[in-house]
Amino acid sequence: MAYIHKKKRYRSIFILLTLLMLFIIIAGCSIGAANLTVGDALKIILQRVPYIGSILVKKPIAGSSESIIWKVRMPRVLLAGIVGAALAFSGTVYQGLFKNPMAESFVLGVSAGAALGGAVGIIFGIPGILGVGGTGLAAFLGALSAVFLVYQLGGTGGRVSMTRLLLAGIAVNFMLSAMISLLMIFNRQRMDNIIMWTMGSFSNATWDKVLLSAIAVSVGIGVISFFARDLNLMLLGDEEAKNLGVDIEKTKKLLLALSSFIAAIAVSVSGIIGFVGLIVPHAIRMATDPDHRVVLPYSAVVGAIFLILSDTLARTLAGPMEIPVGIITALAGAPFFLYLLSKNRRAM
Amino acid sequence: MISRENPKTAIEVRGLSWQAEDIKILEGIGLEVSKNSFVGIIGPNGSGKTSLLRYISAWYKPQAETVFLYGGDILSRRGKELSREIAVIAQNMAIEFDFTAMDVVLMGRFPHISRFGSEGQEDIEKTKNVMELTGTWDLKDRLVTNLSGGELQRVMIARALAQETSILLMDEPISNLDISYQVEIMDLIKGYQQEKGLTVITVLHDLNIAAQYCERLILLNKGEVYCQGKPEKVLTKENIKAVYGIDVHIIENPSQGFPYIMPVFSIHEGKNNIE
Repeated sequence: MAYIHKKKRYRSIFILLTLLMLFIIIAGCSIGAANLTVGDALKIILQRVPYIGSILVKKPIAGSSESIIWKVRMPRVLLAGIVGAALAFSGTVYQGLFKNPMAESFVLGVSAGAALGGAVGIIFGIPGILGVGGTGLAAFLGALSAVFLVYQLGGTGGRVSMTRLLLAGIAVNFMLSAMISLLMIFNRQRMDNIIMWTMGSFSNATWDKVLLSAIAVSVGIGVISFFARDLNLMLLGDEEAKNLGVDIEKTKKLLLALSSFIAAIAVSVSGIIGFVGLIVPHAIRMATDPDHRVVLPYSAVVGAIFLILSDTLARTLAGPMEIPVGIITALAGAPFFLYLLSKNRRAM
Repeated sequence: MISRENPKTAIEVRGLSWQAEDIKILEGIGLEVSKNSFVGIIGPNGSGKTSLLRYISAWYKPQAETVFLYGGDILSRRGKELSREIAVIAQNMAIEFDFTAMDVVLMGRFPHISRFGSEGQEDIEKTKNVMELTGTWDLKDRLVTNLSGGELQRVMIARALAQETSILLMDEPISNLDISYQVEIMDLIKGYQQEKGLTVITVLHDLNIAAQYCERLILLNKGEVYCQGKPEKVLTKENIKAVYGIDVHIIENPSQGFPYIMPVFSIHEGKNNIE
């Protein structure tokens, strides 16, 4: 059936997914070394709601449980959710723009640039601002510079050629990776930190990071959402999209910039977590429609769910040791993705 | 800006030239297409037909004041405004994504919907109308990736009609179709054109189809307009020999009196005409 006839169903499923996400946030807060019930976690979260918190929860929970949930787990779970949403959402946009199922924000150098920036930050100890550590800040700048470089090298004057961008992105990725290796060889005592950072982790989550990334990512997602129908037309090809009234050059530039921006925010607060931007959008496309009015919002919510679950596993599976969350996303995500791929014979 | 107010002209091209890597693709093209007319662009492979069409659709950016839409420079019409005037059916359209036929036809409503809006009941009604007209309503829930060439072409026509433009450009709309679909689709567009007062400009390979359906023909040769006018004026033995380099017989089509072209097959004439 056409999207228009399934709109209501898609909306209901979206509401269910959002409720599921909220439940997973609360459940995620209750799981950990100090075991608390989901009910306790819910109470602690509700009693923090401004103004009505004291009405919702008659007997507030205080003490260590309160600070574990509110100061430690809650920001961590939320940050994982925001990063998951940002990575999956930007992956969807990239695949749409490039009309290439392999594309994600990392192909234009976001990850390699962030890794190089992060490495520089760790080695030189760059001071942080606005609650974001120096490493994160350097990673963010590195990611954006890499995308800018790729764009300058791959762009052909007026019209943006996606194939050229992709090739320039691959070349820049290799170059930056080599530079990271070089930095590590000359700074062996920091190698461990750099490698751990690049594998991605939410162990340093703070409320500052949560707020900052939540605002930036929501703005990016919000603006891009108004271009969902434009992205649909662009799947038919540039000429078709232009003939139907899409200002393709402006749209491409705007969407590339915004989706790279939210991906850069994501990697700067979490390190590099691969695969989310690839498997989440594809899983959703296979299960629903290629229509971006479905895939975009679903990606954000499912990406959040996926990364919260992965991070919960990352911090509990081998507790008290932490497994880098990137390992979990790949180990859990890849088999699931291959299963979907083998079951689904539809074109991507 | 020069205003070429002529209430009867839909599209005008003046002195349009284009060189790509020192090879001239189009050279001094000049033509006028009247409102509500059905015009064919013909010519051998590589004569610049598709390029010309892409300039008229403004996919290729023309030089200032070379392509005019209703008397105004086409460059002054942007984005959705232009796509409310001109619909295009491209050549060999292939869609690789699993949209349904109705999704694709609804995309034709894009220029009529604001960025913050979505398809309303009116858009759905109009989509249904053009899908019924093109015989694609039964296909509405089928994935376009699974449609046959003829079905997909009718879906693309439905989408162009859903756009509700006054001008329709087509690039070889029937070249991949069998003979029954060829006639069906040309009849469909001709009927719609006459009923709704559409201006149609189409690139055609088949000279007999061109003679049959078009009021005027523009014959291109090596990027220049070799000849333009009524089919019987353009499709002469001499012109075809000069442009295509083959000898033909031209007879009168028994049904409507249009010229009908038959190549002289050298193998039957007992001599070799290949130059």
